[in-house]
Amino acid sequence: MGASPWQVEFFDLREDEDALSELAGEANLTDKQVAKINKQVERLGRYGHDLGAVHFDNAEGSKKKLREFKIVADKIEIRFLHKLIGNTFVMLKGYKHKRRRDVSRHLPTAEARLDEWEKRHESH
Amino acid sequence: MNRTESYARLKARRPGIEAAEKEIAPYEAIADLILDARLRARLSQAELARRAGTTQARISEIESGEANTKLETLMRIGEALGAHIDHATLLQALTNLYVTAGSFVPMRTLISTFETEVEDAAVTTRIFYVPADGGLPLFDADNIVVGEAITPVSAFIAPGFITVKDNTLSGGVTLVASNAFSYAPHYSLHGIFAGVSETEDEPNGDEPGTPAETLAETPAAADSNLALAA
Repeated sequence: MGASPWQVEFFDLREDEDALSELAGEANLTDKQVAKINKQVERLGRYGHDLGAVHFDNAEGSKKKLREFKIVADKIEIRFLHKLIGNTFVMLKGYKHKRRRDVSRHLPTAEARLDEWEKRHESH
Repeated sequence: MNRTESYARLKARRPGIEAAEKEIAPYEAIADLILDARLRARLSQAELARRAGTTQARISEIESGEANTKLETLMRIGEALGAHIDHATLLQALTNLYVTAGSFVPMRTLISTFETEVEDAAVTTRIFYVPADGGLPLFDADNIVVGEAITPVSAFIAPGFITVKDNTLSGGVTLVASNAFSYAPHYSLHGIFAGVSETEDEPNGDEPGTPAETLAETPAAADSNLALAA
């Protein structure tokens, strides 16, 4: 396989934090879970949507048509609300999935971050 | 911030991640091999599962580096991927997995794979060469007894918890023959494992909740690869 056309970016929260470190802290992830999430995200960067439909879903209720990237990391289910912009998966908000309605708690944050991300890139 | 930078920054703050990476590496290597081969073969997880006689959910778990999967299932998946997977690399990855995990495959797992030969197995002696730089001297290489049809350089042996006495192994070893994918009937594994206790001497045996034929997650110090020579 040739070089991957895909990029993965975690939303930058400033002050040395981003959507990945935020998830690690909020979900109280173990080192092993963090390492496994990294591997899965690395595969997303390598294969993009070819990784398989099982890893993707529409984010229910999203006005901005965000999608979810779904992975399992050492027995826990992690989801990243994201938007594919060009060839970049912009990971806006990650969370530990337990119930179907969990997404609704994180959507406002993710959608606000998408606006912010777009503003930052307009100004560049 | 791109993925690599984000992760590097997090790793710098959490030094334990590096050890975790080493722990999961053997499982992730299998995951990468199977995922890459499946995509090159243009097979869905469901189709690969059908061909390998397993479930889509199991394939998904393996490709996520999650599953404690039977060796036999992994070998069937390898077989189903045909020429799209590098079988030698897969076998090496399996060997690394078993050695690194300190896992132990009950002999009956492999014997059952080749069960047609069990009764007629001829026992002859071959010498397994353990490289000086990577050897794990868990057994006396001069006393290993293997079946006649196992040819040199056709197999990997991952040492388990074994002892050798009177040319007979006790405890067990994990052996993965390189052309095991064909389930060739000429294998005579019984010769290797003559005298092996299948119940009492197996460190990762049939305790409740610990399926004997699945990979243990317990990391161990062993990390060598063993070469085989006549």
